[in-house]
Amino acid sequence: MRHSHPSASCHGGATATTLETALERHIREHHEAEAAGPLPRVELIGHPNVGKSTLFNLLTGAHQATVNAPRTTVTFASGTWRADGARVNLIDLPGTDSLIPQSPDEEVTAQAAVGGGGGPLASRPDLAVVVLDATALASSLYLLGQAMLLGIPVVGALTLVDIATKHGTDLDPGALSQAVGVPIIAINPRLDAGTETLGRAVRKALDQAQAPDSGEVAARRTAGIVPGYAVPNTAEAALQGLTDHADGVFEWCTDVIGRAGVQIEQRVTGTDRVDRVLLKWWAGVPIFLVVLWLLFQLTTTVAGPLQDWCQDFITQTFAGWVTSFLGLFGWGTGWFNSLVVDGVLAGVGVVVSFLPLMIIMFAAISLLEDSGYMARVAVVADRLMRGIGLDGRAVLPLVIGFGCNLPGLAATKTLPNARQRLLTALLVPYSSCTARLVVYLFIANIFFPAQAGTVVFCMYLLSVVVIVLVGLILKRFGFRELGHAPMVLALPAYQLPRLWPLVRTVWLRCRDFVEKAGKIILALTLAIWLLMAIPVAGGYSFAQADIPAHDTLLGRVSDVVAPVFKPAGYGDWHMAAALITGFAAKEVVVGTIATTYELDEPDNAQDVKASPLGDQVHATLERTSGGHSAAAALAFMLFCLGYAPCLVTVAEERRLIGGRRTALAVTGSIVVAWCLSTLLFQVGRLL
Amino acid sequence: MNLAQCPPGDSVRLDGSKLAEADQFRFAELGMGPGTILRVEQTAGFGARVVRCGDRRFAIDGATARALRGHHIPAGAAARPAGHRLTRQPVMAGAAAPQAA
Repeated sequence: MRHSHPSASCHGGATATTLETALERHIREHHEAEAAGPLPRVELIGHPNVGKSTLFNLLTGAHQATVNAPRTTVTFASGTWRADGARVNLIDLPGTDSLIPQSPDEEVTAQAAVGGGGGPLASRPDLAVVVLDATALASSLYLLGQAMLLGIPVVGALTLVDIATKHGTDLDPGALSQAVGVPIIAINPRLDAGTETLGRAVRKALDQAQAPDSGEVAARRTAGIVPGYAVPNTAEAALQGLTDHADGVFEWCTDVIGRAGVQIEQRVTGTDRVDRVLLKWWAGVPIFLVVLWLLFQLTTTVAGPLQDWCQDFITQTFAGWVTSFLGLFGWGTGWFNSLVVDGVLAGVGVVVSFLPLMIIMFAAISLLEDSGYMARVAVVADRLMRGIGLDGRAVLPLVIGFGCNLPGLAATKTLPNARQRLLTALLVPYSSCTARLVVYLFIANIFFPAQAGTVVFCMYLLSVVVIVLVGLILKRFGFRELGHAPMVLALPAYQLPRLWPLVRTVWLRCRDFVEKAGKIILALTLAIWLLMAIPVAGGYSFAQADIPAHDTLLGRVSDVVAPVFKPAGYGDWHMAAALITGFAAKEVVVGTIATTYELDEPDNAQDVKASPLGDQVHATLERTSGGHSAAAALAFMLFCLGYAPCLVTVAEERRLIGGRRTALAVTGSIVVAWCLSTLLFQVGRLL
Repeated sequence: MNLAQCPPGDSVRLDGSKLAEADQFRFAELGMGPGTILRVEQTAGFGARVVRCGDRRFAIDGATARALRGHHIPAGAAARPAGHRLTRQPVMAGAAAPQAA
């Protein structure tokens, strides 16, 4: 496979050799993997916020993917790790306090540990690495004891030892290991410390599990926790065994801590002092509002110019280069050029333009999570969100959604419960993002020029009302179990986030976004392009540049759709066409209205009232509403607020909650928006 | 008294709670079963309480704090702060399995 060119420079030759070696190694590993069959499955189990995902990212690097647990919206990460040279399939399971599950996320972790999870988790794991929190040793040992009681080989990875030591805890991993009976390795994934030792321990444990006496060893270990306990054969019986012997596991934990000579003092720490202020409502709420304001600024003021630059670069500068290049082959104009520039590059431009926003958002979320502040948000905002069945942390994605729905959806990742994540993901698109503001300003300046600011403000208030309303309806009919569970939240110690784990996390999350949401965005952009490219009147060719909007497939579809909006007072094809393209991005609603009237948009929103475009829109709604154009205008804005979010948000929603639920959510939002919009118009025309 | 009535700095030895069985079980798993001594470290916003249980600190919402009953132990009177070791009593035997999520 070596093809080093004889004229290659030393440097170039060395690089080529390095690349070839890497390629060869990759191919060899691939063949080896195929020959060896499935890799041993090693599962990471641990409390939430214990550094499990940081460890997973460190061990697997780029060799990982996010996988949906079968029949759930719970995801777990799966990757390949070389544990002391031996390749293993490493699984990062959702954090849990116990293997006796009480939430969908915990259910996935428990089922994966007993081998009842279906799909890739259908069999028992070959080994579990239980990540132990040195600052919460007793409850970590409880989880370790549960894993050992399942009869699977176990290795403990002890994290946060530095913080525990600062807090006054004195523990020796070696003594702890001896007391427990399985290897306990002290690690610090934030500093990449101890992972090689962990790899050796995992490999050794995997090798020992193949030994003829491995069954006896496992039996001795379980007997050390619950004397005479026989590991059940079925997943259900194994979980029932954990429930039946919970007390035994607890007593074992007490015994282990005593035998290992662990000393736990209760010093007043910096975390305690900060919490004395941060968890009070008079300080916690204002500080939280400042954090929200900063996040909002990051996703709008800071990300906005970067997004514009990226989009302009792809759709103008780069598209210009591509057009010039295609011109060399005689394709500088025509349908192929339009497909590449207006279809493919427009879609790529959308994906690329959202990347700065996602990088900023993922970095901000990681900072809040890694620092330990997110747990405090849950406490401070608990009362606010409990009414609609959500964790206090849900306020974050909902507020961020007012800047842009996309990072709002990304922020749902901070919620620990899959059902809460799902409910929040369904509500985020009702947060009135800044793209909708363009529509509000356009319509409000035409119909309410003197009160435009008040009208726009009312739209934001309406957005909050719609979120609460839809939240209450969903809670009543689909999420009844939410909002009743007690809030009992372990408060992690504050930590200074580390740069490289943060960069790694942001990179992996962005890669996931581009790989999964990017394809959907591209497909939907091409679909919109096709609607505008296919002529339905004679005399025009496919994708002709100057084809009138009404003579395209989009115009015909708009004609068909327009009567649906008649009860809401804006049953006209111009408005329908704008709403259809608004599915791609709400920013283009106004542009489409202008295009359908074959007029230019005024440069300034305030000037629209006196512009020909303003006159046309006013006349249209006056006609379609039977003289109640103001009510129709409000109804149109309300529909824009509620109906399907932009395609980027839809793509991200699909990535997070699946295609079927996204289709239901989009359909539901259109129905909700139509009902509210029609109600508003019908009430408005009576006044 | 209930946990919400306990002043910061004092402790409560838990007797029981008005929580659902599944929630009681989870509290016990977290080390907060009957017999456990919880020290109230501070009050938090909207009636919530921060308690120390062993080596962990938990935030508990106001409604849940009111549902946890126990005996008041003034500061300094507790023989040993909760959680130097796991102080939970063996109460889970016979407890109903948590409801399926």
